[in-house]
Amino acid sequence: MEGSDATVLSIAELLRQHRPFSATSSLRSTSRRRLSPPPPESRRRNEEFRDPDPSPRVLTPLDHPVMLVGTVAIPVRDGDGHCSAALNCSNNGTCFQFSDGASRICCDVLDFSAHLLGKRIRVVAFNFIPFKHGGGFLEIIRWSFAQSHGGLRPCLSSSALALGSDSSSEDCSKARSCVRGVVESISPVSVVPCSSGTSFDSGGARNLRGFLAQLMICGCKLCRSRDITKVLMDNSNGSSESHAYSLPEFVYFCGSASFWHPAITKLIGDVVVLSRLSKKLIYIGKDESQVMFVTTDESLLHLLEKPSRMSTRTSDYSIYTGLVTGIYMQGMVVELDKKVWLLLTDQQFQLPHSLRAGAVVSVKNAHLLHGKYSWAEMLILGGCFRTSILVEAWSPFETSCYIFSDMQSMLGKFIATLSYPARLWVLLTISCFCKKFSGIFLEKEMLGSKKKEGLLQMYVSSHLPSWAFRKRHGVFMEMCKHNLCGFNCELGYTKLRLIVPFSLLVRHCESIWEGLLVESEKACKVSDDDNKSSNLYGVNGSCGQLIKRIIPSDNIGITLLGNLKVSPFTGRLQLADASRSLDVVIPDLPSTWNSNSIYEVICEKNVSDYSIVITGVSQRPGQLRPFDRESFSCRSIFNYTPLVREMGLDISIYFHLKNAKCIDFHETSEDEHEKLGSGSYHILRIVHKFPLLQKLSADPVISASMFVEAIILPWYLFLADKDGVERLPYALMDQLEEAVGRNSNKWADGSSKRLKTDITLSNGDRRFHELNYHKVPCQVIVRGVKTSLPARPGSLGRVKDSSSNGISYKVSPHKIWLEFQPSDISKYQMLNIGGYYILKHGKEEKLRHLEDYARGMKIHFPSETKLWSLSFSPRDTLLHNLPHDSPLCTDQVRLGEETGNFTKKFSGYSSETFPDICLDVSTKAAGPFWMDLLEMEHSLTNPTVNTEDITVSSCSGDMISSLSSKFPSRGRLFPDGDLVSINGDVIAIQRFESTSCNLYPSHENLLTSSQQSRYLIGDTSSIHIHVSTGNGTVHIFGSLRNHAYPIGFGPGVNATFCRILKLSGREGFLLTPISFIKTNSLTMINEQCGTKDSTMQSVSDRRVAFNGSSSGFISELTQDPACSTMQLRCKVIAVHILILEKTNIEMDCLQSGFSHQSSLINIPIAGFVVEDGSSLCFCWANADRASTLLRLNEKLPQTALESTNWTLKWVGKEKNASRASAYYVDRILKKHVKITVRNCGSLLDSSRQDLMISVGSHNVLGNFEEDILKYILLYASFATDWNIVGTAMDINAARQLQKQHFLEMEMELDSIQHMWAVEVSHVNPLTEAKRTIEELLPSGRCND
Amino acid sequence: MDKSLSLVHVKLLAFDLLSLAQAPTDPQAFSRDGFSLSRAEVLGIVVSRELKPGRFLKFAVDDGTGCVPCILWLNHATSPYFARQRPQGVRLIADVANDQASLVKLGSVARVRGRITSYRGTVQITASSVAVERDPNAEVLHWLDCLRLARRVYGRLGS
Repeated sequence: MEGSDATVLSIAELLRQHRPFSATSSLRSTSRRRLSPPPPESRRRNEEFRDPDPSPRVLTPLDHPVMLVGTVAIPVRDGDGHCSAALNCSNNGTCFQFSDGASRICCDVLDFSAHLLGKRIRVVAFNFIPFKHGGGFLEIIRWSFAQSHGGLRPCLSSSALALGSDSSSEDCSKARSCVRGVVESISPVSVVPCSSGTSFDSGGARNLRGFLAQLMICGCKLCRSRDITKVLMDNSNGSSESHAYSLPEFVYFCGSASFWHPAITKLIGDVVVLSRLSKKLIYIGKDESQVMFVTTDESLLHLLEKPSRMSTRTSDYSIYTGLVTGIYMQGMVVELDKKVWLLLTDQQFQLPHSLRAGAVVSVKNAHLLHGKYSWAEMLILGGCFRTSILVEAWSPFETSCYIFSDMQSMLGKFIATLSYPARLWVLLTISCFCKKFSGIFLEKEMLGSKKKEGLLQMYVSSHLPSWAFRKRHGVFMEMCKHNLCGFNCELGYTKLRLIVPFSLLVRHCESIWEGLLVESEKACKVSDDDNKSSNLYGVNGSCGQLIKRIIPSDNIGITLLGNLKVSPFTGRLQLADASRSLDVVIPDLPSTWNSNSIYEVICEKNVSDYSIVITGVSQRPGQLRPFDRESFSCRSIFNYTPLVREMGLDISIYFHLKNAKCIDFHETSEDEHEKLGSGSYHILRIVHKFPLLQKLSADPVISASMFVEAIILPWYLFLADKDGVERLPYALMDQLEEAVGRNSNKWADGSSKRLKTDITLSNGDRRFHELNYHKVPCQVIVRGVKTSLPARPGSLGRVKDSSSNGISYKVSPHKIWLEFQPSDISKYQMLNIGGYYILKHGKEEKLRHLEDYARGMKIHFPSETKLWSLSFSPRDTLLHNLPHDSPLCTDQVRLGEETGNFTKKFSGYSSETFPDICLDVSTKAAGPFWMDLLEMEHSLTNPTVNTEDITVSSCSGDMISSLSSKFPSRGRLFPDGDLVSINGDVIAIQRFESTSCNLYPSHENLLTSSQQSRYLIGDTSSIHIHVSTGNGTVHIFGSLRNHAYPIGFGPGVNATFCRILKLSGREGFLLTPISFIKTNSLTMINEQCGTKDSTMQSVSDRRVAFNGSSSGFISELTQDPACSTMQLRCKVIAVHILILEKTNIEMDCLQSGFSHQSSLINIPIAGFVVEDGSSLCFCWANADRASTLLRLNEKLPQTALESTNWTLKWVGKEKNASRASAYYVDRILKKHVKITVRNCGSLLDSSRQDLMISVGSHNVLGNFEEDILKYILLYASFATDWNIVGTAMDINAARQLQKQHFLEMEMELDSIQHMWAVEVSHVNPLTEAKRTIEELLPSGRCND
Repeated sequence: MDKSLSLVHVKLLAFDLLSLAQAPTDPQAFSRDGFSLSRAEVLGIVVSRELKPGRFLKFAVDDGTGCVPCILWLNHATSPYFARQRPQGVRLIADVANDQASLVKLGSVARVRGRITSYRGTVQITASSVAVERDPNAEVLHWLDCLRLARRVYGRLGS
């Protein structure tokens, strides 16, 4: 016999080893393959990249044969009717026990036969899995009877097993019933409290333990016979197949028979005969009763052979057999075959120990549902009271046994009352919620306890619709009346939204991003191979082009839930959870927002409730991973581990607070924050914000003060108190006295008076003041976080300008500098350049006489003082009448106005103003106020440069020095020029950095390593920003501290660059340390993208549809209103005018932080003759657009070099073989600095051109140089089509342009249409053809 | 502003181009629906090729609606037309022309632009530039362009 030479192990030895192992050496020769599932190779393959949890270890096999000798028995009850607690088994009497005489452990048998119970067996192949807290579990793979037989008890029949304790009794008068049938389903073991007077009164005080089994019986005469011998005889005839087991009958296994639960579970599907049962009427519910068989102490179980197939099966029952691929949430969720989710949330349910990851299980009598959620679809197996789980093959892995913890909390009960799809959603939400708020709330607070409901339950129940709940009826009722657990309602779950930890969201965004890049790479390959090599901006070096994508919330499909706060590290507004924080932009955030409160942005409408903006650098295709669609799968949520390394994308979220909900878990009152008390207020207008300074210290927390330049208006805002009495501030009274030349002693004497800030006027004083004092009544509307409060009366007031006794008195606005402490960073962040704010007058010594202190001084802003943003109701109309100079010259942007209509069309945001307070000053008396306001705005839009601006920088110590250290060369100490502000759309940004990862160190994740943070904090990066303004594209160079980077800054942003240096004598602007970038709006340049239909076009294609300009013909250009852009597809016929310059390389190199070996080509202006088959047009372009049209970045054909003898001029032919035109132009420019080319010949025919070339140097242009230049120009006119986005220019504008560049105007050009090229890119014939056919089709139908 | 099409390379399909009538007054001009044309752009497959080195390249382009004969002059060195210009400049143009001639191969898709001329009573194109299209979609796009222009521009001018 096998195993005869095996060592016999005792259970005590097993337990002593306390390690999992597999003793299967006896199987190796024979049936090993059958018993262990194949090693899951696929799992390894899939998980190698992302899945942080590696495949579990395979059980260590023992190298020598071992054997256990003992008996398998049903659990032995102790005095309380419970099985022995010594086994450390949580499954209260629902698993078999293996005993070797000395000790016992839990066990399960693979090829179970009820005959083995109580018999002495030899276990020759088994797995042993120790429990964590002592004890262990034996998985018996192969066994055989030992020679000596020892049954449980002597029975009447050899095949009968005694269920009760007293089967020897012959008195069967009470229990004469017997039943024969197929075991259909069994319920979990439940305990009926007998003291409460239920029908199962056994006479004792003990609670009655038991379970229900449903048998399908046959209605035939034989089966109905009460004679057990007849019933059993039938089996021996072998005619069992003639029976139709179709009638349901219930047997209640109670008392000691309840310990047969594991054995009966194994018999599901088998025909059994139970005898010596009694038939009783059992109350299964309050008013429901059912006649059923009840086991007695004498009941017997007779085993028959299995029927060949089940005769009946209800349709919604199922047997699902699959591989356990994961067990989550304390065993409430079991993943099968990586696709089916088995829910075992009923508290009575007890998982078998052998249900371990890697095991093959059969799930019987579960509800199979199709779960359709907004983020995924999946199959759900809903476990009910009838569900049984049978393990078909043990897991070969070392995965631990599941010890079911008692979920008696309110949350557990709550989950049980839900329908299955809702249950899964709740379980996912629990999993996410706990991860999101693990450090923020206590676990008990989140999950609740037995008596108190937790935050989670509050959150979840507020989101579940009423039909997701269902009434539970208890084990008996649901077992007998199975339609009660009908879960037909599968609709509507698409409305349930997931909340995921932000780091998982980041991972999802990264997947989307990678997917998009892969798509774009494909598109690039297909479309234009030639174009791919060309660098649009002609800049070499390790610079990456920033790409931005906006993903609307409906493509993400999840709810954002997080803590809204200002990061102490970056000073940015963030939505944070325990896993990560994300920068947010909330245009309508009131100044009085609740810091550190939890906000929820639900994605429920069709419109975008929020947008996720991803900015990153385009990567090489090799570095990309395929799009992982699994990032929001249940598996990745349950299995979630924080990200180890992120891609370094800049991810920020935009939403409006009106779309968000503040979740008040602690029920704090908000009123306090919103209160705007009576009294007097100063009115400030923010002129400039100085970027955050970061001291170079190891401490990453912002520690330096922040500075804001503001203007104090001479006007005060007064809010009446409850009695309607307005109090004037003391300072105003002083001014008033001064204005009329009165002695101000009345107010000034006595320090006690001085401290008094507000004064109630007497009647006499009031009359006096009315003469010298402007008062403008107004209505004050305060906007709260949620609702607007009713309007309150108030007034604006100032002292009239006057002149008495030859002394004129004039109150004028004062400039001040506010210094904010690092703790007040949220206040600093809330301030908008150009915005108006009020702050309470009086409380602080410094603010009381703000205007006195203000003259050229900085003021420490007291941290307890609040600022409210202000708007004036008829202001918009007023300010539209303000004169606007060219945007290049204004020092300030227009105040908070909308940035244009086009922003609305795209999924982005525009910084509409959402003031806290709106003043309705539309009264007639408001004239003086408007005059003052206008005057002040005029002074701010004055294009002259404030010398004050320079003195400002001195208030922030190292600024000016850092400026000087940057530019030591060029003969001058500083780059000179005017400080200006520019407003425009960012087209592209190039960053020059040594490493492309971690582009935006905007989050706390930087702080994981102090070394890293030291490296990055205060780090600057050199950037080159291409900004499209109304007058064309301008270039802004400079270095920008990471802290000064606005959230979401990138292509597609409409931004105002405040106080940048216009370099005198050069094209371009320089960012200075005091420059501030304010983002006004964000738009997508071309397309929205998401997971569904996301094709990212190649860089060149993407740039074409800039602004979504309409496409058309040149002949239609004139018909369009002058300003709007139009996309044309045309060819260059000839180059007519061209100026090539050497760029200021030293400055650029200093700025970009690395040295170029070659200089760059600057094209201040170029004029091309272009044509599209409809008409001719003179196209003006500069910089990159001109460079593209000249094909400077394309390789010159070899013939060019041959025909121009270029090779003779410069070293070998080979070396020159693959150069772009830019290379040659660059070499010529190095020698000649500037080249001007004009065509004096035919405007149209390139072969009849007469090109006049003049150079800036004193040298003469060599023949070879001239030839190559001519060849380049000729080559430009042989290009195929270009997509040119342009605006029509009138002849005056063209003349102006030529004058500007000292070009002589030719009469010939008068008769031709002129255009300014805004964007130039290659044509993709396929996309163009598609577009054209779309355009042609509808009209074609109409014509036909 | 000059809106006539005489300076523009009109995009016409071969059948349309070949049916143009020579203006009786000006042999340089052709007319279509009453407006004059002098330059055209065609795109199609090169179906014939006849090279006389140093003199010309004669080839035909088939766009599916007809076959347009084209000529690319290569006689820059001998032609009196270029005699006035600087020899180096002429050589440059000649090299470019030769380069383009070498691109014209049977079966390739060529885009030809040039003046509309007549040779022995047949319309032909005296090419000023020839480019070979590598993207097969270019042919479809050309057809669509011709349709679109005919509808939106040429049709309206004529009416």
